[in-house]
Amino acid sequence: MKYLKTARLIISLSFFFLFLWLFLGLVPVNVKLANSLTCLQVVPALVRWNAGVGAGLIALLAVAVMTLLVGRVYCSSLCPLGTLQDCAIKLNTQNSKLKSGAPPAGAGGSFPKRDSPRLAESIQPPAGAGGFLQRGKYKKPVNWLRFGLPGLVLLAFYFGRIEPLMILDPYTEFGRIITEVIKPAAVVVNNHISYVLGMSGITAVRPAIMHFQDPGIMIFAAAVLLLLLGFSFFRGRIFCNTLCPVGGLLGIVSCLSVFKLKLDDKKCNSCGLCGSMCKAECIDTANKKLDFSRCVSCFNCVSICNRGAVYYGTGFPARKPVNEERRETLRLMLSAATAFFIYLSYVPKALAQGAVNLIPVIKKNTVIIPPGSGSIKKFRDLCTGCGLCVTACPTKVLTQAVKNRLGRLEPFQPSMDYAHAYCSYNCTVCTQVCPTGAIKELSVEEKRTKALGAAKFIKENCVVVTNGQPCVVCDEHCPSKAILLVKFKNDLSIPYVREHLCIGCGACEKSCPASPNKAIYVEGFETHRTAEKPKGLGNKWKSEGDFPF
Amino acid sequence: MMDRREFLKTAFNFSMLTGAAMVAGKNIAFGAPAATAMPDLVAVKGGEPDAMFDAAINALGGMRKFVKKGQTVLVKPNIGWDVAPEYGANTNPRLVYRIIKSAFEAGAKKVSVFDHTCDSWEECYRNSGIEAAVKSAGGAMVPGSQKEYYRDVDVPGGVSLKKAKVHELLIESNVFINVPVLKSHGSAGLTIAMKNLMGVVWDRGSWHATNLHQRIADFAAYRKPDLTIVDAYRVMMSHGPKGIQSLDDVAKMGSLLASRDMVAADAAAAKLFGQTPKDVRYIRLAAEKGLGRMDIEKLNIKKIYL
Repeated sequence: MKYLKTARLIISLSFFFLFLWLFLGLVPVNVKLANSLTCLQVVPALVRWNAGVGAGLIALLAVAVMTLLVGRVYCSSLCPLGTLQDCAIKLNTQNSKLKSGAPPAGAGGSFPKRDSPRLAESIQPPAGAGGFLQRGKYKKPVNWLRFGLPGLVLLAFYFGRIEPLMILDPYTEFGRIITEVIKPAAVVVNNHISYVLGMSGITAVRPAIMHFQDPGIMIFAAAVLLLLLGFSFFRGRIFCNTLCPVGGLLGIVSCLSVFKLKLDDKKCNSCGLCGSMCKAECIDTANKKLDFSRCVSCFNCVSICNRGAVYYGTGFPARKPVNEERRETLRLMLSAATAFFIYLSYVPKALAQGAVNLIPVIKKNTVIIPPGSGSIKKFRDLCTGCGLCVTACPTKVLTQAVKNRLGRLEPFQPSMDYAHAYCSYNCTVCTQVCPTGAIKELSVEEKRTKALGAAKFIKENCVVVTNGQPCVVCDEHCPSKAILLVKFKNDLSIPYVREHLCIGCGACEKSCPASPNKAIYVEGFETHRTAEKPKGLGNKWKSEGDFPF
Repeated sequence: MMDRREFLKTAFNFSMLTGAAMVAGKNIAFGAPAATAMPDLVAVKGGEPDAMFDAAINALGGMRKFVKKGQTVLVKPNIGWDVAPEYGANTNPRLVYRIIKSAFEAGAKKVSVFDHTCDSWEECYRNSGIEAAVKSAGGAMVPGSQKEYYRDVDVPGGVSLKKAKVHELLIESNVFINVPVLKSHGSAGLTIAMKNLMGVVWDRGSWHATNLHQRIADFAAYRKPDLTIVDAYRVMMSHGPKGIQSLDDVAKMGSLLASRDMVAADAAAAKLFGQTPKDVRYIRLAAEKGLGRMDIEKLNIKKIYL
């Protein structure tokens, strides 16, 4: 039984570091790695299923079966946000070990010393019929919240509101924290190393693109990170057992688990050691009860108990008689939760009101969404804003914001920002990594004719007109030659946009040197269209013959 | 580190002085053995890019004429676009490979390659095949996307361009080999050697809006390449500089030009493309500034057919 914790540690840390590496995006994102990491994530799988991808349902069933068998191992092994919280929890445990001067493991049995200062204050007369020591770490479950909230969140999603999921999905939140808070720091360090090594001729470390997004979203993610770390430092996996929709769902499923962790009535002496190590605060050592629906299967209890009293057993607890008064209270609380939920879903919107408008550009009317997302409506309903596509995007044209400038998307849902970059003609990586099916996979050929919008030319701003210079950089960058050069005057040409060829990639807008206002920009389409494939002009060059000089 | 830099800077300034003296003295230093028929320009046709390069460099007296033992070399191909080699948007990777190998054979201590790309650099480096070529030849593929690598320099005699931010490799390398690809170009008409130098400049964005041709010609005076190799193996005849990834636009010219005179190389390449050199404005401006010759009919051209 003791090896369970080691196995959990190995699996969870591997997943955690792979996820971290994935979201840091210091090297081009490996699509296979991305897909194999995200395929089992519950909320993306759920959304993917809703988007009509059958694989999503299979992933959900796989997690459900796993949970039905042995409980919420998902929460401790596969969930990257869970492991992130474990880091804070570990910090607290380490700290208290130092303070309490607990004996090293294995030194004459690892019962805590009775006279250690930390334990001394908690030594109480037996609280009930239970053992001699109550460590006071057991907390009653907040059932109305932990089961009510996932229900509401799912209900909202069913009715097409994805916002609550965007805030509460642990995978998305993890992605957002890494992308917005950790990645900028990592990029600075990485690029510094790259530069310093580069000076001595070592080019092994590649510089990454510093992708400044909306500061609002950075502040939001940093606040979430701090809250999360704070809560887990003091209260363990409390997020997982109160707010997390995945935790709530799996909690319900794990009530029916075939195998459950239990305390052996005979072996357990209610010493409270396992309770003190329990991340979920779910072991009532005084009464020798383990609330398995909250257990995240970290196996700390199994490995710390030196009497072997924590074991996997089968069977269900006896049903308690119905308590009418409690039912009524529950109903009340459910209503309170609804109010709380409505409030929650408006928090980002409220934040958004104060968000800074970063880039002043031409008056655009329709937001441009990534290739493969089909239409604004579909995309809005399916994207949780985890930011994986933003990380994977090699040009960083995909950008998240608390409030999209054109206000058509939900907070955090990415859009194409052509102020700093444009969409690469040969690239389909966002369509390959999206775990929720919000961006559907496209082949390179399909992508090259997928029109996200169309370029609009403003003659008055063009440097050919204003400066009399032969610019036409837009024509040079245009991958589909939607730009035709037409005579302006003398030997100068200006662009003319052939909309049937334009795919709205933004190459023209990004490269246009006109300032302060661009002379060409892309206006998005509500629903993506299909452009014509450009044709080569052919040439009359003959290989025979001498040099012309 | 700074000592080395300072030293290199001094060495470079000195070489610039000598270069200026050479121009003033009408190629006295190199021109002296002209009796042994050192050609002004070598034009090769009919082989693969690497074989054509070997033939050209032999005709110019071998790579040792350009690269001395222990020197650092910068090879600057055109890697501007995220386009595969067969469409001729970037310099041919086999040519780049062969040049690096040849520089090492001549005793180069280090050969670096970079470009300040137009499309995203990682994709350009990969899809052009040049990163792989450079690595297998033992060269250093340096990112050109980091502003930290670029330094402010004065452009001597600039009419429109007085200052530019250029990559430190261009400032520090002992030998500079420019390896452009010949292709059509929207605003410049043609892009060849001088236009390729926009890829060593950071703040080139404004060039298009302010006298592009004059600025290309101005910048050509900053540091003239020791050797210019024009890749005309596959030539994008229309839709350049990026193209639409259609083989219809590509002519397989199977040619290569090599010269110590970048302007002459551009002039000959323009002619090869079917244009008159003086009609490409930056070529005319550079020739008028005395940076090189565009009167190719008067040059000593060695033609080689493989």
